[in-house]
Amino acid sequence: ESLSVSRCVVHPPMELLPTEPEQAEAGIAPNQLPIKVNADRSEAVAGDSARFEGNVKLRQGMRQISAQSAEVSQLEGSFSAQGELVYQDPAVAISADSLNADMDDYNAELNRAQYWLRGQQVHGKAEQLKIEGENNLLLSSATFTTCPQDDPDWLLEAKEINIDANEEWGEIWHAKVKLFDVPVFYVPYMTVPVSSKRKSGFLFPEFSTSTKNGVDVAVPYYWNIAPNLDATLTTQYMSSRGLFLRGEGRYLQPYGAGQVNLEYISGDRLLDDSPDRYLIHFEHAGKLENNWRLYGNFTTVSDDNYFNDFDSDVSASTDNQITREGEASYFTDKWDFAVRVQDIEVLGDSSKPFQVMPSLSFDYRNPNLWGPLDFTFGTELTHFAHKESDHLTATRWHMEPTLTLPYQTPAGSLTTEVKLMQTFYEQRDPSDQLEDFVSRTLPQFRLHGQVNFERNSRFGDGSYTQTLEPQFQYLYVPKVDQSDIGLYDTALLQEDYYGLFRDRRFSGLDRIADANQLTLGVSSRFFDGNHAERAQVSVGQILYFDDSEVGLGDDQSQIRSSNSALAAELELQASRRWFLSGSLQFDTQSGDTNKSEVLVDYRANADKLIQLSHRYVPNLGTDTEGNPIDINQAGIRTTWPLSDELYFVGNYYYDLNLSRSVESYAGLQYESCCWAIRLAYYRHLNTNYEDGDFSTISPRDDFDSGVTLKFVLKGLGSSGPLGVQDMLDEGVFNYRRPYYLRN
Amino acid sequence: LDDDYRQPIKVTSDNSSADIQSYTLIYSGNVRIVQGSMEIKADELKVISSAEKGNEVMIATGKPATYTQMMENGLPAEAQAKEIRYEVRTRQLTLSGDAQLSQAGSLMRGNTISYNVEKQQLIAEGKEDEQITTIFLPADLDTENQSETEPKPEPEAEPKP
Amino acid sequence: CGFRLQSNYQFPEELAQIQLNSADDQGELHRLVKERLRLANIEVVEDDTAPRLWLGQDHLERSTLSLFPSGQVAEYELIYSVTSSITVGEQAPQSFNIEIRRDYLDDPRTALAKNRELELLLGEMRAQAADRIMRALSSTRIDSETAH
Repeated sequence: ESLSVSRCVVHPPMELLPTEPEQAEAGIAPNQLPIKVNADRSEAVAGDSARFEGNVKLRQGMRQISAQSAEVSQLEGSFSAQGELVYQDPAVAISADSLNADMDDYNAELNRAQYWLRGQQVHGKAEQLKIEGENNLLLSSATFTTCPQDDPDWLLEAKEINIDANEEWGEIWHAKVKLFDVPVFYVPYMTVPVSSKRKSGFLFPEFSTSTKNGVDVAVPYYWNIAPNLDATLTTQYMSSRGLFLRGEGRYLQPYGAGQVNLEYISGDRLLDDSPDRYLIHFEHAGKLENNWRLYGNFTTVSDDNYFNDFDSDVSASTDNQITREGEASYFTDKWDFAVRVQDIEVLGDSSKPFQVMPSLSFDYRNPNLWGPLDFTFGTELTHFAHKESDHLTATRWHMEPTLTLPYQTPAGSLTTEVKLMQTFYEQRDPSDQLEDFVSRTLPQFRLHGQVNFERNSRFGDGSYTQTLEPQFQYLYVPKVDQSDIGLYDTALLQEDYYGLFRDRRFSGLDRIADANQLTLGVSSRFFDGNHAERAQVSVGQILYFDDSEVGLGDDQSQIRSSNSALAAELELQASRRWFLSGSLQFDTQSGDTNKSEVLVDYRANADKLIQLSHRYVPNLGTDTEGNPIDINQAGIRTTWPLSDELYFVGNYYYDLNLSRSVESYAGLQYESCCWAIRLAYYRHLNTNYEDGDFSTISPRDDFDSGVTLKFVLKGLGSSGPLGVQDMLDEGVFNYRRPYYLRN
Repeated sequence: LDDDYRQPIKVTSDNSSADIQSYTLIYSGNVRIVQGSMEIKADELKVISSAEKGNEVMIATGKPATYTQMMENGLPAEAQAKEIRYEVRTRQLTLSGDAQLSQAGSLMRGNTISYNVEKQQLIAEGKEDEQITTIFLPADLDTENQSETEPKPEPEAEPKP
Repeated sequence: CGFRLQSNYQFPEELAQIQLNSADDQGELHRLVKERLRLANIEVVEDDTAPRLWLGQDHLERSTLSLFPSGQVAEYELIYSVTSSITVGEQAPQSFNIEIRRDYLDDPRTALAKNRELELLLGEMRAQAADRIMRALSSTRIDSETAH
């Protein structure tokens, strides 16, 4: 690949020693190793000093110095050399005029030197270069660059540079950055990573302009406090808003890892009363040796639009909820226990969810309790509090013993499951509509079977093994009136093919729907010669023998028809690079489509792909006038290398109902070995919340657009192509938000 | 040691012969020359003496001929070469032909090594395509294992890069 | 139409006994795979010479699928990913990346209930991933000489 590591890594113009010590010398401290000198001629006073002439080569362990002439004084342990001098060790290679060194405490001083960090792109010149200790380089009036050419595109001239090779980062004082020999800016002090272990990131200033923030300059500063503790402090100046400060501290300890984020802008000039705006975020996840796990997550922001207006390190504009959570859990083979508190704050919406203060859950598993019967018992005690003072609160205790009889052979499987669900509620309802004390007992019977057929079949160019896997599930839950139970953490579950085989229609525990239904489904898979799954198609539907009357008080959550929508899924790898996938939910009675999604992917590699997509989801919500809102969206996404150095990244999502683009993003990135420039235009529907209340989802034609120009100095830390992954993150549709995986 | 050169020189060998005209004595067959703490062993020894006493020149040859002597600092010096030439009066030792000398924690190898025992001065020279090699043991390592008489065997002289 | 019951044993007999270790050996994925191994009566053993099934750390990410006309996010996509590998004898490890996507409608008015739905979907995706790991296990390539 063009910008591969090999083309960009700088090769010092001298023959290099291996970086691994020979076996014999591996264990011994470097300055304890014997010094071996080769030369054409030598004069010595035994045991005192010696002088060598004629392409002298002095070697101690993995360090080697070659020169025209050299003097060694064994008594003072000092050494000096002159003439075409080359010094090298596993971390650095240096050519210089002269060198004098102290062999006991293992440091050396070279003048008018040229240095190369081995295996890195970092190199430059220095009037004076000191090597201290293992491999700590102190350069004075030096230059520093990562561009491989002799006259580099960018160059840093600094009064002092200190490169610590085993901490793998460098400090630079009084640096003048020259771009194509033009001094561009001056930085009094900065830190740079010199190996990929360190957080490389973009530690050089970034410039961008956008309609929202005007001209925007962000200067990150990476502070490496300790091997397992670092911080990144970023000052960002936005011409239309003011000075925005962002700090992120990360720690990694044996008992757990976490991060703290503080972000603050005093007087945001873009808003009329120019308020102070801030974010405070803390997150910790840890495993203690005695099987305990701790997780904590706290975020608070000054206002609802915070994530829309600022590019925070914590969330993106599409996140409309912030959580405050804490959990301690204990795991063993047979059972696990967790205590959790959870308070979700919804941005831009007046409705406030219940708070879980706390919930205690205990799950016990005992396979083969009696012969083939498996037994599991789950219980959860939850107290639902609420922010508003005189609001409904409740305590719920739920128990669920289950007996399962699994039977599995290669040809098929049959699973019989009997479950008893017992729930007690103690509800404090200020408006007295709900009972104070409710007990609900519900048995459940589930029978799931699957048969596996297979045959060899030819399909297009190859021969495949095709499987046919029909499966059925019968579910029975009697009807119990639950209208006197409040809705705390329950809502209607969305259905797709996999949802057909669930035993519940509602999330949470406050509504357990009555059911007398049979789900039928069939999947077929195609495996190629070396067993890779090349295609998979599944179709399924539920047949309701009775109506299901338990609901959430609106008619949409009850079932009155004789069968569910037909759900189908398709995944096909047509060739090495072409992929087709789709899913469909089709209402066989009314004949209309409840949901359809089609994706066509051409994927050559991570940086060369095109994806065409279409989504159709009718009446997903209702706007203020009450007419239904449909999602009917077509999209195209691509990243494409136009040449070895030039990449195009593009997004275009189009709302077919309102025939307008929802997001269009076009970005070009030119990347050479040591720098990259990124120009991107974006225009997307404004995702911020107007005056706080956001109950309506009616159409709004208020767009956000901007141009960002980012200049990036590359080759610090990780060499090799930058790729466009993080550029992809900038679009609304591409940003991927990581979740903490609770167990 | 310093008073070595005042000691008598004793030479033993299987047989010996003389060529009076050129004042040379020839010993051959595991020859041993001892003077105080200095000892040279060789296959053949030629001693060329001239008018005054104590001005002899000894040329010992062997495969290799070896030389050991105890130095002032209590550390032995050892050397070997195809030919060891020792001038008694100037106490100048000249080793030539795969010469090797180790003393006080440093080992020197090359084509010719000239070693002035009195001034403790060494000069070593390689051939056109063969450099000389010197190995220093760092000071503290050297005092630690006093007992180690012969440093680790090193590979032969390295060819010039 | 040529279909016959899958009669031969699903799993190569070299895999009758395997070691199971994972980045999080108390995690739910580990438990689900162990359960399926038990049902397929593959014995989980400790000895080092047995073939080794390794489960990497699993990850969950969310990205936006569609927007309401008002700009508010309508549908999200949950992406569950895990890498796993099977090493048999001296053979090179055969690794496979599993990525499971489910879309999910977020509704700020029922945030707590939607959070429960997300946890339910996560459980279902992990079960799907465990099934795929078992299918990958059943299609492990064994070249006989190096395996023993």
